[in-house]
Formats: sequence, structure tokens, C-alpha cells
Amino acid sequence: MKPDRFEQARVFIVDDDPGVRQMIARMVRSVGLEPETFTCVKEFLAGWEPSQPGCLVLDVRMPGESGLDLQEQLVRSGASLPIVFISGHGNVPMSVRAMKHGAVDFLEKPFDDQALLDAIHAALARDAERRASERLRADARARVARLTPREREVLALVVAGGANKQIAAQLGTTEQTIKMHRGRVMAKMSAGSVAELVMLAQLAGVIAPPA
Amino acid sequence: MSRPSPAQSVASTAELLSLRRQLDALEKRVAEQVRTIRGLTARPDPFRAVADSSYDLESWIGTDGRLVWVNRAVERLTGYTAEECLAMEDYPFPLVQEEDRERIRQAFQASSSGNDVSFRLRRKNGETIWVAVSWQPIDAGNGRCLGLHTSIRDISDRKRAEDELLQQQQLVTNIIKLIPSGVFWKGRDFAYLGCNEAFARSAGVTRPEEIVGKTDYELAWDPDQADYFRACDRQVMENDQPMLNLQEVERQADGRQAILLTSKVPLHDADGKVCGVLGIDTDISHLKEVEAELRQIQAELERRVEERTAALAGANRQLQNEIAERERAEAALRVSQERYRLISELTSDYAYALRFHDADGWKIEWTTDAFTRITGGRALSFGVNGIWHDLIHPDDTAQLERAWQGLLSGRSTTTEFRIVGQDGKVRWLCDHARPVRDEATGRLVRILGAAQDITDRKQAEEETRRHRDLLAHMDRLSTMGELTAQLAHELNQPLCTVVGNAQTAQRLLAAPVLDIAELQAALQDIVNAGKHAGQIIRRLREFVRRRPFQPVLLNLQRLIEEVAGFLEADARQHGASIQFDIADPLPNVRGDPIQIQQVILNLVRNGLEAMSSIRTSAREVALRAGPAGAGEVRISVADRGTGLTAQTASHVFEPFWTTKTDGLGLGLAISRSIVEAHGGRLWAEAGPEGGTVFHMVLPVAEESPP
Repeated sequence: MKPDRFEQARVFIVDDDPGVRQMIARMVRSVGLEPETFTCVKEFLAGWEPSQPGCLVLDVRMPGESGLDLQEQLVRSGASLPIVFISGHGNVPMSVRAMKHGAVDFLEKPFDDQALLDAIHAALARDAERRASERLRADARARVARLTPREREVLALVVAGGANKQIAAQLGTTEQTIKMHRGRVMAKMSAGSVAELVMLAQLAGVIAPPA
Repeated sequence: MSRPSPAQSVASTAELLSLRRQLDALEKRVAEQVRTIRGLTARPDPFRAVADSSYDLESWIGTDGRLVWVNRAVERLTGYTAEECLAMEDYPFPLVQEEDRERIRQAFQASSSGNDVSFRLRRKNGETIWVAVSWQPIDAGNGRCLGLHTSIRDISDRKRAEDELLQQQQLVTNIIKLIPSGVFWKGRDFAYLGCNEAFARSAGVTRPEEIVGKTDYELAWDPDQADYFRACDRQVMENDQPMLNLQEVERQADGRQAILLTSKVPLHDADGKVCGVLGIDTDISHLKEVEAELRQIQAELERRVEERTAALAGANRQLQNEIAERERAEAALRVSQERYRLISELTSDYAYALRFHDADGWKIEWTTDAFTRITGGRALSFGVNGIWHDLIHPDDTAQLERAWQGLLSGRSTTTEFRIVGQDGKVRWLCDHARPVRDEATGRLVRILGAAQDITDRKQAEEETRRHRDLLAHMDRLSTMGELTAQLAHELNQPLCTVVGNAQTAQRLLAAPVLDIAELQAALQDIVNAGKHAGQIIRRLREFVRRRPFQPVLLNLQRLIEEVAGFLEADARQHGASIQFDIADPLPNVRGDPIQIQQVILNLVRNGLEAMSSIRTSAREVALRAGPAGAGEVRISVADRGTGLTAQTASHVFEPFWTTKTDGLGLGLAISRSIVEAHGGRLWAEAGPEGGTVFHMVLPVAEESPP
């Protein structure tokens, strides 16, 4: 977990108490991360850019919409920004609810600095991973998009484990022709092996990922 | 019939028979002749015989005024014979009753003839009969007057009938005239034919005769009344049926509205045809008035009867009520007497009288039995200051002295004070005393007093007051709980800020390149947050001390007794018991009783809550109080809970430090601040046999209550 791994990442901090807000921002800065503070849920939703990598440090109890409300909204809209909750007066049902909805951690004030920083790093890591796999999927989908319809049929049958002869019989053509298609598919998908091709097909959503 | 004739000298039978017949006829003729001649001589006129046999008294008076002839009726009529009459010189006047004689004579002289002139005839036997005389001259046929013919007829029957008729008429007339009803009769043309005086008066005419020919429309009635009469008359005459007993209201000539009972019947002529109507109406106004009056009288009578009945019923009710009331009163009296007897046996009230003696001042005159029960049978002396020695609680003597002065100045007094019984028990009395003056001199001579034992009331009042106060404490504590829940959240923010900044500062210091500005900012934020937290804590303290601190002398023993009930109730709720171990006597302290009680309550509750995880039979809190060292009192609360480690023992008094899931960790913090405000100390220790012991030490008050 080197800081430079999160060079582009932002730590969003939403807390109505200015003292706590600034303290967390300072703590984040002290470990080389970039904080961005908001005083309430409304302000965050107005200023947040979903494409921006990062994580959210969120106070549970705030005037107006609560931290839990914001979490629900993000889950509903499909945004997968990882959240670290901090609470002045937490209780068990509240934390259970937050964790069920995918919170990274639930910390009670006053919290230990290392606990919060660990949670923030975990959240950023989760965000980075998510964003990386998302990039791979997008890339795979882009390569599949370059295939002709015939090549996509051949791709599907190849990743399903079919031999050229079988595929030729299935598609009503010669083995020679299939060989030619297969070569183009491998080239367009930039796949060095059938295994790589299978992975790319899975990322692109052509076949279901392994259960 | 042939018979031989003797010689021509003998005549035949036939001739003889014829001769006989001729002879008889001659004899008859002779007799007739004789008779005629005799008649001519004795009764020369054949009319005379007729006249003789006439029924009436016929007579012939010659021109010389002398009676020439009189028929045989004279004897029947007058009793005188014809000869006697012929002997009279002045016939017929001697036969006339003297009263009528001159009238008759004048009538004869006045006229040569007269007809049916009546007079009274005096008979020979002195009787008088009514007769009527007619007379006319006798003409000889050759213009020569032969005299005067008089004819006298007996008219006594006729006269009697006439009299009777007249009498009857007079009777009817009188009846019609005198009856109180109005009577009238009308023709077919509805015009009046007659009426009586009563009717005339009502019709507005002065005499009955005046009504004749008039119709109802010309009389006193209103037109619509006249219409009505006319209609009735028509109905009676057309139907030939009487209308009887009609009641009508009629305006009389005098303007009076009269109620009339009227009947109308049809009148008939000789042929039986209806020719008019006869009416009779009777004024029954007065009857109606009488009837109305009668009704009134009856109603009045009925009313009086009802009144009387009601009065009787009322009187009866009242009597019954009085009887019931008397029975109730007697019953009440019996109950009252019984009650009084019981009261006098059982009551702790007492009464007394004091009398002033010139020689040795005020002395007890008498007291009731209850009095001695209260005093325990001690002999009492009565001081000059109005104090019953050896009886009055020392704290109340000043008050009683003031009351005594009031009595001596003539005022009635009511005083509540304490007495100390022989057994040392204190009782409260409420005494009502009244000064009595001598009527003659006006000097105060006696004082009468009565008092009730109000110990129970006082205790109840005290109890109530204590409970009320305690409830007020509870209320304040719970309000504080709500407030602290809010404050907890507020305090958490600066705490969090302090901790976070401090740790960040450490991190900054450990960094290869020291960011002085960031370090300073962090430290400044720590200072700010700390100050902020301090403000919040001060607010909390201010709340706890909102009630002005009023240090008073506190009897700790009493203070603990007061909350003991609540503590035991709490213990029961926790399935625990409390052991009290309070030293006696216990030095008094100075402070706020409520706050000290709050601390005791809080410590005991903490103890009870600390034992929630151990078995019920072992749950016990011991509350001990006693002197501790130099001028100090110690109150300890020991529980048998899980106890404290050395580390937790140092934390328990920090605000918001708690081992309890539902606590805020303020109780002990507040308790400590209270104790310290009282100049004392509060700390926790591990118990010798497990559990925790909290010790509160307070300085003993310099001045002790008596």
C-alpha cells in the first residue's frame, strides 16, 4: 500500500463538524493522500465526479440527510464508491446495516488514527481494483467489438472448447476456413493463447465468468 | 036491510040511517058553532091562543098604559099570575130590578120600539134573573094604534155563558199579561197581531197595541236577528210544526244581551189551515247567570276541597317527614352518643381549663382523662410563661410563649407544637385555646383549651413532602439524563478532534520532513476542541447545579432514611437486597440534602447494576455510614459485582466512561463533582471480598443541631 499507488485517488470526507472534518483531512494529508471535504450529503452529491478514483469517509449522524441515506443512494445508482463510516454514537444495528450495504469499515469516534487510515487505504485499494477490472472489461469489450459476426461465432465456439473440424461442421464450412477465422480472432483480441482468449471473452461478457 | 014497513006510517031503515047521519052532522055543526061563539066571546082572537102558548113573556099594553093582556108564560118567568100583572098600574116596570128600572123606562120613552135590551128581572119570590126585552107598537091595520107589544125573554143562560166567556177571556188576558215570558202572535205575513207587555218591552214598544202590524225589522232587534226570527217563523208555518225550546241570544231594547228560551207554534184558522204563528220566549239570562254562578260555586267548592285535600296530604306528608326526621334524629343521636363514648375512650384529644388565682396566678383547673394519657400520668406544673414544664419540645417553647402572650391579651390562639412523652416519643399537638373573661369585672379569669393529636397528620405531611421532593429529584435526574444524551454527542466531536489531531501531530513529527505549519494547525485545533469540550462540560455542571447551592445542617441519618424506601424499591427491581449499617449517633454535615441524596442514590444504583450478571441470591449492596478520621463522615456503598481492575478504577469518574451498555458514564462524574463541591471526596476501591466499594467522605459540620 504505497501512497504513490493512489496518486490519482481522492479521499472524500463528509462530516458536519468542522473540527472533525479538518482533523481527518489533516490526517489524510499526513500520509500523502488528497482529501476533499464536504459539510453535508447534498454538497457532496453536487461536487462529486464518479469517474474520480477515491473513497468516502462518511459521518453517520448529520443534520439533513444522514450518512446511511447517502450510502443507500449510491448503491441504488450503481456507484461503487467504497465507504468508511465514522459515528459519534454508533450502535450495533446501525453498523450492521452499513456493513451489509458494502461499507469498508464502521469506526466509532473518537477513533484511533491508524484504524481510520487503514480503513481508508483498504477502501482505496478496493476502488482501484474495481476500476482496474472495469478497465480490462472495457478493453475486452472493445476488442470483441472489432470482430466480424462470423469471427464472433467462431470466438464463441473456440472458447467453448470446440476443435476446428467440429466448428467447421457446425458452421457448415471447411476446416481451412475456420483456421483462417481463428487466426484473425486471436490477432484482433490480442490473445496469445486460447486461455487468454477465454479470459478476454469472460471480461467482455461474451461468456459467463466461471461460477 | 029491508024491513017491512007497517003502513005507510012506518019509515024505512035506510031513511033512518041517513037521518042519523044528518043529525050527527047537525050536532057537530052546532057544537062547532057553539065553540066558535064561545071562542069569540071568551077568546075572541085566535092569535091570542098562539100568544098565550108562546115561551117568552108576551104582553099587550093599551094606549092608556095599562096592561091589556099577558100570556101564560108570565107565571113561569115572574112568578106573578096574569091577573096580578093585570092589576099592576105601571107594567112592566115593577118587575124591573130597581138599578135597571130607570134605564129601561128611558129606553121605552126614547124609542117606540126596541130590541133585546137586557135587564135584571125581579121575580115574585125575590130572585133576580137576566132578561131581554123587545117592544114594538100594535097596529090595528087601519092606522090606529092599539097599544104596545112587549116580549121578555129569559136570557140568564145566555148571560151566564157570556159571563163565563168574559171571565175566561180575562183570565187568558191576565195570564198573558202577567206571565214573565214574552208572548206574541203573528199573521202569515209575518206582521205582529199582538203581544203581551213583557214582549212589548223587549221589542222596544211602550204598549202591546203598538206592535200590531209591525214586523221584526221595525223592532229593537238587529237585522240578522230579525232574519233569524223570520226564518223560524217561516219554518213553523210552512212545516206546520212547532219549534220548541230554542235557546237564542237576543239584544234587548235596553241593549242588554239576553239569553232566551223560545218556542213557536203554528196558529190555525177554523178550517185548520195555518194562519199565523204564536211565540213565547222566556228570558233565562238570569238562569244562565245562576247556572254559571252555580258552576263557579261548584268549581270553587271543588277547588277548596282539592286545596283542603292537598293541605291535608301535605300536612300528612309533613307529619310523616317529621316522624321520619325524628326517628333519624334519634338514630343519629344514638349513633352520636355511641360515637362520642367511643371517641372519649379512644381519642388522644384532650381538653383543659386554667383559672387565674390572685394568690398564685394561673393554675390547672381540670383536664380530661385523655390528657393524662398523653402526659403519661405525670404530675404537671404550669409555668408563668404558659409552658407545661417537662412536656413541651424545647424547639417549640418560644412559639408557645408567644401564643400565651396572645391569650393573655385576649386573643384566641391555635398552635401546633410538639410534646415529649414519658417514653421519650415526640407527638405533635394542635391546640385551640380561648380566653374567658369575668362578665362583671371584664378581667381574664379562665382559659379553655382543646387539642388534637396531629402526629399522624404531621407524619403524613412530612412523608408527602419528602416523597414530593424526592420525586422532584428523580425528575431532575431523568431530565439530566436526556440532556446528557444530547451532550454526549456534542462532546464526542471535540474529543474525536483532539485525539485525531494529536495522533496526526505525532505522525507529522515522525515524518522525514517536518511540516511546521501543519503541526501548528493541528495543535491549535486540539486547543480549540479542548476548549469546546470544556464549554460543554461547564454547561452540564451548570445544569447539575442549577438549583442554588444552599448548605444547611444535614442529619445524614435522616437523609439516608428518606431515600431508603427508593433504594429498597430499586433493589427489589434488580432482585437484590440492601444492608444498612448506619452508626448512631452520626455527626451532622453541612450541604444540599438533595444533592447528597442524589449521590447516595447514584452509588447504590451503580452497585445494583454492577451485579446484573451474577446470580440473584448473591446480589447485595451494603450501605454503611459512620465517623471517619478527623472531623469526617464516611458513607460507603459496596456491591458484589464483577469489580474493577486497577485500570478501570482510575477511569470510572471520567465523564462518559462506562461499562454499561445503556449508561452514559456521567453518574459518577457528576457524583464526584457534587461531593467535591461539598468539600468531600469520592473514590472507588476493589472490595475485600470482590466487587467494588465506593467511598464518600464529607467534612463534619462545625455546629451540631441539638
